[in-house]
Amino acid sequence: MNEVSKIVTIAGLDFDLTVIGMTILTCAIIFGFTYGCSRNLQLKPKGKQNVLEAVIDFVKGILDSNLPKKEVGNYHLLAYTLFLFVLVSNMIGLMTKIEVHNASGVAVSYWKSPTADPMVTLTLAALMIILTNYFGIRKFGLHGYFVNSFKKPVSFLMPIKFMEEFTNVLTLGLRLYGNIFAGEVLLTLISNFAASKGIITFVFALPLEMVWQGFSIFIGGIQAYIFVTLTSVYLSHKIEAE
Amino acid sequence: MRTKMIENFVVGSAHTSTTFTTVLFVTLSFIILMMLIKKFAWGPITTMLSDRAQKISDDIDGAEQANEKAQTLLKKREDELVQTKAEAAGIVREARENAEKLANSIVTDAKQDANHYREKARKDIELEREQIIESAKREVADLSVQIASKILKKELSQDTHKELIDSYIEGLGKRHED
Repeated sequence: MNEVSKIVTIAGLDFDLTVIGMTILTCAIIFGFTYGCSRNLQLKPKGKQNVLEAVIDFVKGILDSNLPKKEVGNYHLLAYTLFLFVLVSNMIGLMTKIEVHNASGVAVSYWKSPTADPMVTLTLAALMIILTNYFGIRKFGLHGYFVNSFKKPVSFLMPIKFMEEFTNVLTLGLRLYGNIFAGEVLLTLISNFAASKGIITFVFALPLEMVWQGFSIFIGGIQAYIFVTLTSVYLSHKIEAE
Repeated sequence: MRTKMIENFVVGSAHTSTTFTTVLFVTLSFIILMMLIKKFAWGPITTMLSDRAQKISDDIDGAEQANEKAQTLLKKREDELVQTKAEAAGIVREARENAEKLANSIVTDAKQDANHYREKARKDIELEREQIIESAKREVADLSVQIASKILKKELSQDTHKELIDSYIEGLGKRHED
């Protein structure tokens, strides 16, 4: 069940080639989409510009519901990149599965969602929590930030508030990882079932796989939305004076 | 088997050797992606969005102004219409008064003329009658003289004759005048 990535060692450091490759692919897709859709922007949008604007407006809507009006513009780019990064990461693993059996007979996976790896999701979550704290410091100064974030409304909650920063990282990262990883595991199980007894199981497994892929697309979209929403909620705790 | 099961539930235990590089790589790739988007695409997008917002608010303001202008114009037109109606009514009234005045003067003139002509005609008739009477007198006198002279040719002298006739005619004229 556990997916084994291709690991290469360069200069004494181990690199997870699968995750790195899929992350690069994700970034390339997002940049290609954004760059391609933002050529020849017009006041009266048409074609691909509409798609880009739909995504931008969607992300703006998430921020609008959590942040004060005048702060939305400052974090729009971050939320846009984050949303697309999580969304594309969630989707990309659904397309196919490439496994190569190496010399010792272990199936090495070359294609998976970057977000099906806990280190990737926890990294994203930690990056977001660190950024929200940084933005809080940038806005209120170190002292103001500390008072606003940890001593309000009452100072005896301070230990819990400290702990919250770490639990936020864990919940944010593990929620995404769990959803996407579970989806991929089930996809793998169904594909194994399809190959188990020849043509008969293949016929039964095909619609099952399609249904689960459709559901996984839905899950992926929901998770990307939740990730951005929670990030903006955590951000609002740091940059809004109570 | 048991240890493998447990391993699966422990986060990050699968590839502990790559944890550091994966974290570093994902962080860097996310930040680089964000910077690339900012450098190559975000500027035009935000410019376009703010331009559009500006244009929409401008258009709304313009529409409001145009509406206001139309309202004032409508008010002006209505006022002008009322004024024009009043003017037209005044003109009609004036014209009617003028016409009445003119008609009255025409009638008066006509009456005067008629009176004048009637008077003149009466005078003419009188004059003519007098002339006729005069000439009739003269003719009757001449005729009488002739008749009388024929009858009394030998018995009366011219002078006594004439005297007789004159007195007679005078009596005739008086009777006629009565």
